[in-house]
Amino acid sequence: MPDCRKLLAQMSEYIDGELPKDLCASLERHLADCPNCRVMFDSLTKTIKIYREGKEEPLPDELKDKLHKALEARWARKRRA
Amino acid sequence: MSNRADEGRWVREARSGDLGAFWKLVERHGPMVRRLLQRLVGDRDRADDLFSETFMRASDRIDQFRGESKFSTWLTAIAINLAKNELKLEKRRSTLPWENVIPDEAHRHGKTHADLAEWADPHTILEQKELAELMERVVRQLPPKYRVVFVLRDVEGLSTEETAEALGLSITAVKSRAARARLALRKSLAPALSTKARPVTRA
Repeated sequence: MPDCRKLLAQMSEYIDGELPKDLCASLERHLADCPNCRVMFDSLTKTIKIYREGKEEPLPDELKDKLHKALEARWARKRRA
Repeated sequence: MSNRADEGRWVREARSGDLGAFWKLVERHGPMVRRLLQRLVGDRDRADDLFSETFMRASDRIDQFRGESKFSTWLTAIAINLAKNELKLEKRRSTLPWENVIPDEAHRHGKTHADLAEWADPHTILEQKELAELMERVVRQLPPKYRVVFVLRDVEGLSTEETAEALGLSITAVKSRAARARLALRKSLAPALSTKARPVTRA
């Protein structure tokens, strides 16, 4: 049985499309035969997916106002300098 | 008009003293920078202070942005640099050995248990708010050097190369830390998201 641990280390690169072709082929062969690694692969892919699909919140007005005022003061000083 | 072309123009205008142009950059990238800092430092008020400091520093150094990297990568590097002090305070558990991120012995002996049970669609198991809180909590448990790589790669969607550039790391280091961080998160999420709550043994 191939070393599952070694393949776990490669799964991330495989998901990113950054694993060399020959290693992709051996990982795919292993996944076809090892149910535990298939579960690992599927749950790892889902982990990455839920984080990637998260949305950014719009900036709160209060935070924007505070930053805008601070920038105005700084830029006014820059212009005078 | 393309994003990159807009940005190039806004940066040039900001350099000649146009705050309105700089503000367009704040509006475009602000939500990304704020989320990044929230994920990195956890405390939302502190993250907002660092958010403002990031843009103040970017405004002071706008002349130094040469357009060799994306504006967002440049901003990200500033934000991370400012957050470094917070991250240094968390030296505890600074490494993440393989042993801690992979399933235990059972895997090698061909058995399966809750940690290796199949996952349902997370959205069908937990309410959106519960899921978001869980995701945020487990990311904060990652040691800082892994957390920062994970957040850039998988929350902000930077490429391996961009992450390496923003953090001053090698590509190999980024890949290795991303792999461990993802496996650690998978392991932390498994008890809540797997379809089997109790250990089972395969015949």
